[in-house]
Amino acid sequence: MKLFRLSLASLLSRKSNALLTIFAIAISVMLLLGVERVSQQTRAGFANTISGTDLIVGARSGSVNLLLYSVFHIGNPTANVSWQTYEHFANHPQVEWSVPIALGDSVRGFPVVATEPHYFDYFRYARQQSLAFAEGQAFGREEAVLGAQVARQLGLTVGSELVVAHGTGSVSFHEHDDHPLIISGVLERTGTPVDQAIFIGLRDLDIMHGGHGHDHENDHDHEHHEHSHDHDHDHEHHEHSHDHDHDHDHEHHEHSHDHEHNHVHEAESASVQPPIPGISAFLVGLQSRPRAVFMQREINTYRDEPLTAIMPGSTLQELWRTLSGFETALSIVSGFVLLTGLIGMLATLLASLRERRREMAVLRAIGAGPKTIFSLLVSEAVFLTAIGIAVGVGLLYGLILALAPWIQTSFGIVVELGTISPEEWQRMGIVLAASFVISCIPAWRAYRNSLADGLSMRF
Amino acid sequence: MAELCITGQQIKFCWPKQSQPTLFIPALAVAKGERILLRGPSGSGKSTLLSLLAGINQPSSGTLSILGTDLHRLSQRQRDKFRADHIGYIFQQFNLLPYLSVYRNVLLACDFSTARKKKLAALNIKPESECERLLTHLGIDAKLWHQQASQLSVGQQQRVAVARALIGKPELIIADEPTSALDTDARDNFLDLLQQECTSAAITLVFVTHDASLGHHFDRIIELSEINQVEGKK
Ligand SMILES: Nc1ncnc2c1ncn2[C@@H]1O[C@H](COP(=O)(O)OP(=O)(O)OP(=O)(O)O)[C@@H](O)[C@H]1O
Ligand SMILES: [Mg+2]
Repeated sequence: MKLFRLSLASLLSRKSNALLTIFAIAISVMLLLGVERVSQQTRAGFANTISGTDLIVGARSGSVNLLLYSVFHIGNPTANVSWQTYEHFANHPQVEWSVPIALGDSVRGFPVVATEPHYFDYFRYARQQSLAFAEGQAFGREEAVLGAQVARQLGLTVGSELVVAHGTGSVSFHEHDDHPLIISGVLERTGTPVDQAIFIGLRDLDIMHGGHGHDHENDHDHEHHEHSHDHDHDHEHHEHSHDHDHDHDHEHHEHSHDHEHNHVHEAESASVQPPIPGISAFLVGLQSRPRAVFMQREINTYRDEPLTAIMPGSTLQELWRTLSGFETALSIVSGFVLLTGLIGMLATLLASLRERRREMAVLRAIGAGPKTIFSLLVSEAVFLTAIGIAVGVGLLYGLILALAPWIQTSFGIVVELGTISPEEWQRMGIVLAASFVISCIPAWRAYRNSLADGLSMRF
Repeated sequence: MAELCITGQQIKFCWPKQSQPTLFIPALAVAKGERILLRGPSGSGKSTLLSLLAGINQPSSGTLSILGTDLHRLSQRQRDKFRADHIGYIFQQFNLLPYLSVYRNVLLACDFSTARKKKLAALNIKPESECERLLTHLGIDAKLWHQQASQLSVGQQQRVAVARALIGKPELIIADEPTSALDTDARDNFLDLLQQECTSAAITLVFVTHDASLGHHFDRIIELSEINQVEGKK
């Protein structure tokens, strides 16, 4: 205790050095914990983006790619799934529900998700939470629903007009000024990519792309004619969708007309008329969850169209694994930052030894043993580190408080304040232990000095 | 014959990494309560001898016993404790920890030694009141007590160092040129006070200086060159 008071008084006399050391350690601890926290929250955020969906189905592609565009709205599908195929699986006896989505458009950088209104009933995120409307309701014809972030950032509310552009960049290729949509609802914040999305009807998307519904009056007829189970037709659709992604609208026009003429009498099915010829993907909920593996296999081997079905949970994990290299790199960097902080402390301690030799000699003269000198230095370092850790945690929480809104708007990651996790305690423990080990170097020097100097005061 | 405080035979000491021994003292004896002036030219090994007496360093051969305790029989830790309990040490300068108050600097000696505290307790004196008595007696104004030690003049600091060496009545005071940084008046004043305290508490004093004019303050003068038999050193 008296030793502690002594070393505290000694430290206070070297305030600026001590403060700098504390600051360096605080910063590195903050980084060390912060990196871990952000990656943990990102992981949790990842896992929370979608739940309750048993399978996601898209045209044949890598599973991570499919997940990225269907859930995160990042990137584009390489090919579309024909409406017929969607219908086939939507009516499959194992399928409880299914929701089609078509992607590819954007409004001022926010992705447009064309889907059906029942998307809002079936989509789940986090722990089986469903989407809720902050305002308004699901879209109808020529209407759109906005994610919380979109509404806030674009300053739109229910009743506002929205113009959708083709393409996903912030700079739109082609705005359909002639076809504005009215906002029918705004969703509650979810902390998932849904916040960033604009939801419109499939039919509206098709109309905007000059599909069969470009002439409003004739909508009904076209829809009726479009439908078919013909294989060739499917194939054409497939290609057609492909074109649609990369080519001009004019071609698209012609294509659509072709279909109308060729297959005008073929459409006979009593099922729902297709609102759009092809979709990007569809979400599937199964009657029985354990059957997901079999269903997945069935879809993957579907003969009429090459498809990929993924189970979102496992693909999320796969995606996370591919990102974990980045996470490791960050941890390594923050580890080195910590090392720098500790070496900084070592340097200050070693530098202070010179000026403290007198102090040591005085302590020796009044009966302090070399071991006392040793523990004085070690305890000082450990004490500084402990304070540095505490300050670092304080900084971390302050930073989270200050930056959480910005992180959420910029990256869609919800960073929670939370308590200190066992891993974090462990990391702090390691830092403290490291400071102990490192401080043994100057302490040992002081120990040697105090033995070698005897009682001669050497400066 | 009076009881001996310091006895030594065939004391030999060689600093590490030095080819020649610094000291070889065939015999050394200091009686209890005696006040000794140790003299010798610079570099002759006075400070070295003092660090042997204080148990900081150990003779490479020979025996040295203080107050009947053979220092070489003690472990490092025991020697440190022995020093804390029985020896007050005063340096040439910079005796005080600059970041502590004058008061705490004096009490520090008691913090490191339960024996000193016990001795005071046996006399029914609190360390604090003894500290105040010593400081007052040594002419340190009460208003300086709670100032940082670094704010005192050199002469004042040396007197505070005496108070610290004396608190708890150790048997032996070792002073290594404590007056060399003082002017003549301050030096005489310092010596008088030190002598008084040592006499009244029957404390043995070993005082190092190269200043021959101080001889009359002491019972006996030891010329290091006379007792040190290392060849080549005279
Ligand atoms: N810590 C040490 N390590 C190695 N050699 C030392 C050490 N201290 C003293 N010496 C050597 O021992 C010899 C005696 O030194 P010492 O300090 O005892 O002399 P001194 O009589 O006290 O001199 P001064 O009057 O200048 O203080 C010197 O030659 C010095 O080089
Ligand atoms: Mg000397």
